[in-house]
Amino acid sequence: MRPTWPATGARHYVYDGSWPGLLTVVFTLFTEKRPALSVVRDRMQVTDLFVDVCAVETNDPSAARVQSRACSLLGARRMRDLRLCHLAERAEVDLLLVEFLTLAFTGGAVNDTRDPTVMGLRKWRKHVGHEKHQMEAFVRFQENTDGVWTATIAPAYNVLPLIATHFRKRYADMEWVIADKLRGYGLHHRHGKLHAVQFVHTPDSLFPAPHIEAASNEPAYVALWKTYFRSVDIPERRNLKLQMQHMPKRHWKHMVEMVATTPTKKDPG
Amino acid sequence: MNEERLTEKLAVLADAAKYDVSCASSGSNRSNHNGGLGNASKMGICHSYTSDGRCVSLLKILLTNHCIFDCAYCVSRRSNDVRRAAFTVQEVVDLTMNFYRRNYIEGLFLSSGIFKDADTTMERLVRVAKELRTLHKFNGYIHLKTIPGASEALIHEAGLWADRLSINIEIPSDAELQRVAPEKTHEQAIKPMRYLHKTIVGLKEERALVKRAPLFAPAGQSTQLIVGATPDTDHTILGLAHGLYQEHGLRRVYYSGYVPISTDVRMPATGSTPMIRENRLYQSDWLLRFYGFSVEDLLTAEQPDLDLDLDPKTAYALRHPELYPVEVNEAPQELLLRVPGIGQKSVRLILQARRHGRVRMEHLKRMGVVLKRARYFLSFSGTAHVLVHRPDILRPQLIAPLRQKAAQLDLFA
Repeated sequence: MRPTWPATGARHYVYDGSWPGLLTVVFTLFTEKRPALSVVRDRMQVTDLFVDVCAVETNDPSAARVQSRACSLLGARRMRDLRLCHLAERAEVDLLLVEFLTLAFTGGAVNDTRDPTVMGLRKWRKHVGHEKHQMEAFVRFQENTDGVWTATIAPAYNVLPLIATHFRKRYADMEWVIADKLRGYGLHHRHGKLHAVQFVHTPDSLFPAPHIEAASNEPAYVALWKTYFRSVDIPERRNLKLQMQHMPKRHWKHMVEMVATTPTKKDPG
Repeated sequence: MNEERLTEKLAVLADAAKYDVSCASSGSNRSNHNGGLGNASKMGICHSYTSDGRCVSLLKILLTNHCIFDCAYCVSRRSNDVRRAAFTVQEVVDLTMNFYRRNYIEGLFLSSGIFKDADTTMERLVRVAKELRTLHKFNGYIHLKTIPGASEALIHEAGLWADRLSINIEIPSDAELQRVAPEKTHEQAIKPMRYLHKTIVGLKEERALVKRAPLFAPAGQSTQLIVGATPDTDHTILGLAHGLYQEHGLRRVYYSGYVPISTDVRMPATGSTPMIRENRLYQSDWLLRFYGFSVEDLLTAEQPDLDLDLDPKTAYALRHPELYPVEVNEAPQELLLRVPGIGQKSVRLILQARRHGRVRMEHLKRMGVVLKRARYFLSFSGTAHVLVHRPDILRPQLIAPLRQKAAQLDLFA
């Protein structure tokens, strides 16, 4: 977008979706002086037949150089924000990130709140941050017979890495697993240590897994919570639109109070 | 666990507590320092939303709805014929721990009817908090109700275990309060507030010097005012709220639109207080606390009630056309904050942008400024909207887009 180089040299970049991968795209773009028309994770997303497509192979040393230079220009806090945006996993955001880093490396005003790239990333930071906050709120744990607490989520963005610390601190004395069923991986916590776990099952069958069975008092607490949830409602003031605005419907199926039936021992969560 | 009895108690005692609108779980900073359960998130977390769109953050219940008082506005008053129930300390502790472990809640908000006398009731509330903190290493959020008339020793102990304490004034003027709640006076509520404020400030100073000084009600105090149950004006209500913020360091004053739960003859026969009035009071409360407005800016003795058709800032702008237009590229922060449609965040972004060059209308849009209101009150390098000094024409224009929304609100009010 920015006329740093002649627009004629612009082309599409394809990369592996990783953060070092994105930084390698920036490195390539600078060494070859050819700006990005788009930055995508899958070649099939490029429909433009007349322009070059450059497949960038992630190169860790190059990525590290970009990272350390960017960090010294922007500071650690700003870098954290950029990585947070990257977890949106959208081509639109990837392009903004590449444009923003280009802006920083060419001495542009990275704090100019009139700039569409600066403000575009600001908007995405808000979106991803909001999804993170919602996941901290809407995760629902279930206690199982083996003493492990489990929860399934399906966040719009890849926010599991962002919520890990919150849950580690809060549920320090519990062994728990939070599974992202859309992305097929989860986080396992035990004694203050976190591990990523991959799921081999197809996304919809993460839970119930064969070895997971709800603890005997689980249905009782689910029922009590539903009783509470019904009792605090003020029906005279019904405003379903407001409810949905705060608590988007896509989260409901993972929230026990919004699910009509109580889970049985055989079919938890 | 006798599930059936517990379910029944929970239904009764959650229902009785729901008219206390405070649900905040923010403003505390308790960490999980002992490897136990939970911590308090500085910004607070809403874990669910009811069908009326209110946030569910805390397990908000009464210990009991048995009450020796007879306050006309209250569903639990002794002359009201309702089902009565009481939790044991153990039951409240169990529910809190088990809901918290499932990530249903941020913590506990425990209130109670006054079942024998103030001290007995307060002692029971304190015991729940103490057991959670000590026996169960619970570090989640605890909000306790201060019972009017309880001893200072008990109130002090409550502050040691709880994150927030609150005592509801409920009726905005003392005269009206004594009419509808003969056993109560404003002074009964103000006295513990004064004591708590003094202690909170004192211990905060101590903490600045000695890191290990105990936490004492780190999320401060709050109160609630019922709106529309008595003829008190918005001027009275906001004046009282302003005083509470200034003198007693309250973190929040909540406004609760009166829902006619009571058939008591001392209460008005009218229907519910319109939601919009409650909403306008909250908007004004924000203007008082964060936007540099005074009560007199918003209301006067001649005009003691808020304009329900317009938000209080827009109404102010229309009453004071001489203060506008505000020049986007030059005005100081205080003046930008007085422009309808511009909030604190937008002001920060505008000031930041001005360091880089001139700010235009299209920039404001990306910053989140509500242009459909702001554009009438701004000038860009000297160019202002033609209607800036015509409040007579602006008023209907600014109301029109809101009217449809207001009509929808009324349907459910």
